[in-house]
Amino acid sequence: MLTIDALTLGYDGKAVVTDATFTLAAGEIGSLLGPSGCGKSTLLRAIAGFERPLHGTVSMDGKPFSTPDSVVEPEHRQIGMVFQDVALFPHIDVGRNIAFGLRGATKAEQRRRVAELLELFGLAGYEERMPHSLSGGEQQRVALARAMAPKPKLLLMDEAFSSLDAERRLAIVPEVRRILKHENMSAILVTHDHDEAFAMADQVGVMDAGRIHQWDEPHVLYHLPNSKFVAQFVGEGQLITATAIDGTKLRSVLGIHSVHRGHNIALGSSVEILVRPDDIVHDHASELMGRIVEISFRGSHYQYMTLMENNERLLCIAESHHKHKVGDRVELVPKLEHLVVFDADGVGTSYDSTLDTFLKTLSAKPFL
Amino acid sequence: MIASSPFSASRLVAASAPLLAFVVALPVLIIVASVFGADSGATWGHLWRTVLADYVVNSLILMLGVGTLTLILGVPAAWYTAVCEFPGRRLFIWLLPLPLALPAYIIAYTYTGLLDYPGPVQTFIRDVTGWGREDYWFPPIRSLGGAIVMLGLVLYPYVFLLARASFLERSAATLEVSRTLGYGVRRSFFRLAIPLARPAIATGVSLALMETLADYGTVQYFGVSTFTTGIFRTFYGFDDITAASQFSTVLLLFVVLLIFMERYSRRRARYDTGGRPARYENRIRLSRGQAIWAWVSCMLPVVLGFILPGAVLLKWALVDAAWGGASFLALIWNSIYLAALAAVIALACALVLGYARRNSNTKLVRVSLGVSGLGYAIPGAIVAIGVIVPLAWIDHRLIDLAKSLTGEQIGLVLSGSIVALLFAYTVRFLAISLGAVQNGLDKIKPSLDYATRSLGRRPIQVLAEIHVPLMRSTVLTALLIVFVDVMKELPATLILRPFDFNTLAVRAYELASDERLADAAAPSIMIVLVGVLPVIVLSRTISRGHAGQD
Repeated sequence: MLTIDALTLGYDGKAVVTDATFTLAAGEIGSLLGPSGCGKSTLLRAIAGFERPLHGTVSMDGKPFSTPDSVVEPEHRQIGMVFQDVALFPHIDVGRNIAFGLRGATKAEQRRRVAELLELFGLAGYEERMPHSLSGGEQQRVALARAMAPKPKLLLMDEAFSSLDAERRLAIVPEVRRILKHENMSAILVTHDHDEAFAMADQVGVMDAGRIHQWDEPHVLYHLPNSKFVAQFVGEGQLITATAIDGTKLRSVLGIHSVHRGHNIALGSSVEILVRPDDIVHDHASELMGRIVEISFRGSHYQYMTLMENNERLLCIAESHHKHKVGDRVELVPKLEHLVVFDADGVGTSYDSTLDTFLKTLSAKPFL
Repeated sequence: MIASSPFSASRLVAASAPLLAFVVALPVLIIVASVFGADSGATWGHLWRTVLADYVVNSLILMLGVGTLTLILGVPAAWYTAVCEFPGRRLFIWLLPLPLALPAYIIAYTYTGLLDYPGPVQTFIRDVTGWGREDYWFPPIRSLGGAIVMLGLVLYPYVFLLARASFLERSAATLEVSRTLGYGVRRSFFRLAIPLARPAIATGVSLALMETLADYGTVQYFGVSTFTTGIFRTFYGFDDITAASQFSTVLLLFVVLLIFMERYSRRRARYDTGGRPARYENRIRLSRGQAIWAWVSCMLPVVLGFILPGAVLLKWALVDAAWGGASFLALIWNSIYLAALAAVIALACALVLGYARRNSNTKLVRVSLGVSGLGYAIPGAIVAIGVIVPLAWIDHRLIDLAKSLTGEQIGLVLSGSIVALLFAYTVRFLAISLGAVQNGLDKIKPSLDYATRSLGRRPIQVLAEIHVPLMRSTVLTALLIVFVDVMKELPATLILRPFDFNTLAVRAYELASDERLADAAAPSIMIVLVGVLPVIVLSRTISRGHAGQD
């Protein structure tokens, strides 16, 4: 439905977004994820029609909306937009704010749609409240309702939840996803928070310095990032060194990784591999040891930062009742299901692989 | 080019901003250029040898005196009403800014009426003691000292309002901290509150001093020779506009100095400001003795600056004045339509400039705004001289043109009509409208524009449905303040008014000059009544943390 093709945006010849390409199917929710200043908001504003591209096109349903030569005005795009600072019209009440985009409709239709949306957002009866009398979360719900009211083909959300506190955000994001799916509305959320992006979107694009590094489903981004930037921006994890010892094997502090279909890393050269916290589990049945240097209690589990014998660090997850102190040496069980390898340029490649730890003599040694 | 503005079609507005700024700056540019212009050797040399030193010295003493007096009257009252609790505090917050509504020349008339030789005070002394004219000494009101007191009494509210806002903003937390560290109230005031509020106080003083330099009515009435009276004397006495312009440049140097002082301290003030004004839950409770001090500090400025002169005016207006029927109505009408026209023109210019900045915030546009806002610091007499020169030039070209075309002799179309007045008022007061408009536009976040566009509205509809309703109150405030300032304005009006055209301010000045003080009360009290309104608006804005004429 939405197609972004080789889109380059910028001011005074300086590119802010370079060569962005992705598509979004009808009813699908996408997210642009990246640090502040990466160009994600500019890209969103270009989709809305507030920016003219230097190169490339934005098209909807096959119709070109933005090209370097012509830009369809924002008011003719049927694209809704929600902002971080809410941007409710302060001088009119909630009902008229939501009905603002329903000009063609009769009064009765407007009332019905407003009531329907307020109901969906759990704000029934708020029609005559003024924006300033609402809490931050309520204001953001009204802003969403206002943008959704005319049933736009696409809803753009620019850091729409960033001004809410963590608890409210946790509640509203799945709620908005449910409503969007209920309305069968496509949407794009711009955010710097990967938890928010993962909770909202079907497809996530990770952006940095004006480029989309990877456009994929959340679990693919997490487990099979195609660049070091994506690996580090999305979720926690550590990079450790691995050395190619033959055409199918790499050696790291964890053991020997056997790559099923072989790799093309030069023999003897070193690369970095990604290890997520959930790739390493603390269990007594292992002889791979690490010393705990940092403990973070997450409620359902502990996360330890451990220092290995070669001074590399690994994050590991332990069950909540495994209580250890900083300085304790603990046993680590690697559970890597695939190997994500980064070359010197930070470009990532994923391999299916199995891992042989050096010492598999599980019951040979007593507990320390 | 990026269409980052929702009004990408309004390039015209952005393009017209520099042009507008140039026209508004023209009078000042002409004054400055006069330094290099035709040599008016004789007049200038004469002035230089005889009176210039007097003018400089008098103006300096006046500034020093008024600055000191505004500090003495403004700062303690600000402190007491901001952080202490005593009976009548809330009332004083409303009363203390009121003297701003009184033009200094009007308060000067009332005090002259009260304290001069034939006035009730000296008459009373003579009646009681039986002394004659030569038997006692009474401080002469019509003197440099008198002018200092008059200007100080009506200008201290600038210091009061800005100092109070600063105390409110910062002192709540700092004061509590300093008291937990063992500082008493008095030491906290001198060691913490005053240093913290210094930028705000400096801004207040420099605003008061700009008004002092601009004053003509008071010093002229008291016979004190300052820059402004010098400009008038050169202009009327020697009929030498070049010398008058050159004279003006000397005064401009002082003004520029003040502008730098004001901008510098204001930037510091902004830098120091952290967060919202604190709410005082626990004001300092004053002991009985301290409360009396607080009361005196607040009562004195209000009584001397507003209540007493107000009462005198009222008495004159109701008992003694001759309300001159139809001609008086004409005065009121002249003042109102002039002030209303000027307010609307200034607003229109401010809207063009404000939207130019919102739509295309280029360096050229920013400079244009800065230039357009300078007029508030330029004394009316200078603006008037600067307005006459270009308008008279155009008029003479028009006269020549008309003569060559029709053979008819036409009059001064521009310089002899209210066009000249309106031009001068716009130059002088545009800063006020501009400040209000920018303030209003800044509050309409760009995301509101984007939201409106994405909900299917064209740019012109964004303006009509969102900006107009949201800007209404700021725009009204701007209109109101300019309206009143024009009603009060004296020097530029005196110089530029068309032949036989009178306003309330000019009439009050003329009557007072003819020693008909009681009759001057009728137009004066009209000016004061209209003037009280925006003072209340202005003091509320400043109390909320905005600096009014930013």
